Amino acid sequence: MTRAARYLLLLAGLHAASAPAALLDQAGLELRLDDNLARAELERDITGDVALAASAVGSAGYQLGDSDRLKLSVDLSATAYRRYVGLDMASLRLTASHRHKFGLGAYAPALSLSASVARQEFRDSARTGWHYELDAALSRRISPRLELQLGYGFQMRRADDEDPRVVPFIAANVFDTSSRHLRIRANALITPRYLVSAGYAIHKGDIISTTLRNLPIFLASDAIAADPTFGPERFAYTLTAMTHDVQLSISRLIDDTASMSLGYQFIDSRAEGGIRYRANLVRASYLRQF
Amino acid sequence: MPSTLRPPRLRWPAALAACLLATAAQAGEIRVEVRADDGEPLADAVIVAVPEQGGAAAGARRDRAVMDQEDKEFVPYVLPITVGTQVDFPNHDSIRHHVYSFSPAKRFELPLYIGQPAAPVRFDTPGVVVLGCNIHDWMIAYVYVADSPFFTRSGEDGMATLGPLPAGRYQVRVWHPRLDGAEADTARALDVPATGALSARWQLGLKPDFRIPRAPIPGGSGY
Ligand SMILES: [Cu+2]
Repeated sequence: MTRAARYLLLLAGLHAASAPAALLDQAGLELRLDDNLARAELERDITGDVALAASAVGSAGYQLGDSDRLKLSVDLSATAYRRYVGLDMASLRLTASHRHKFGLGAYAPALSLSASVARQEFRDSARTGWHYELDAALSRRISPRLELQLGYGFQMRRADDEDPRVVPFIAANVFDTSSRHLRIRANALITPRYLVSAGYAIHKGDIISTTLRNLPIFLASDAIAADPTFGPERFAYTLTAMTHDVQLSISRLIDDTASMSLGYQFIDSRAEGGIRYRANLVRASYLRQF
Repeated sequence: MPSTLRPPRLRWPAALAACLLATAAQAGEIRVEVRADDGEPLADAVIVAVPEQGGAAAGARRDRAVMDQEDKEFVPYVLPITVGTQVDFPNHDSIRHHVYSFSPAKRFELPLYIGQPAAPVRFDTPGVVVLGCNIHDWMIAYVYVADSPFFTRSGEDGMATLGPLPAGRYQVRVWHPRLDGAEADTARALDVPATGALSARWQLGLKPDFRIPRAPIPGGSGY
């Protein structure tokens, strides 16, 4: 914990030194319903919960030239669950992103490259660790009403501690995962005040499924560890999977600085060994820019 | 009366008489009310009066106007000017803007700057010039370059006064960024009296106000 705190202070210090003005840029609040939090296949293992998340972002932008912009941001967020409080999490993320515009004006295509590192502290420390992301996004505005995005991302999670092995010769580092994804997204104004967002992503890589002892999952898994966050006799399995991810949301633009959104996400994951799970998420959120 | 227009050797009684005559001749005005098709007052409508007899030397004036930038927005949203006007684009934000226009009536670019750009921009061709900022995609404003020196803009109450205008017949038309249809279709012939005011009312069909959103949305690009 003290080591983590030192890292956080170091990150914050680096940011403060490089920023022309330390600002609260954006704040958000999100209520999230997840009907399959454990990412489980069987009815007996499927369990949902409600979470409340708050975030605050501070950033500094540097216009490097007519077409290039560098942005450094610090994103502090906290998530609290109603039932599975072991998943309560505080996170501090530092992101550097570079945006290049191919031409002049609002309709010129733009390429954004970003790298981020986050320190994530969970109430149940087994998940506590570092999260890294690399992302490339190409966006193009077609009209004042319509914007299209294409993105590719890689993410990696490294937990601080490896759990004791449940089975000899089988790794227990279930919370060390990585995956990549390809996504498309469209943002469209359906009226001057309402914006609809539709997106699809395909993810390839590790997923974590928490279930009671389960032979097919055991056979398909790369790592196993006890996962008391979801209760006694529960085990977390790391599986390699292909995940289809569909998102649809509607935002009400309250004014130039704030929006309220209601979003739905459907996740359909197919892992090796014929394992499959589905999850439905609903998000209600409020975002404000300062 | 601007001092530069005063004949140099006119004696004061003659000068006074000339002033009175000029005032009397320019006393006519048009009080305009602009409303949207739903009956609501419409702000930022441009009203232009073109004398049918000619004589209004558009472009002969050397006007100066200002299109400001505050809190990452252009101010005003609509700036009516007459042909030949020079417009300053001061940036009062602490970050840089990059103003541009692709409009045929005036293509130009003011690359990244803070404060006052070196020179104003002169608008020599009548028409509508759409302004944008290359850094802040939501920033938008319109410079309406009128082919007449007689123009005005409606306020929040939809009201505007055109004048004082020399008496005579005018073609008066109205333009708005959301106008649905041709500006020429709004034209009317109005006879401006030598004294007093004439009232005129327009009700305009409007397109929905779709603008690039500035508010943040979940998963947005954050720029
Ligand atoms: Cu700008």
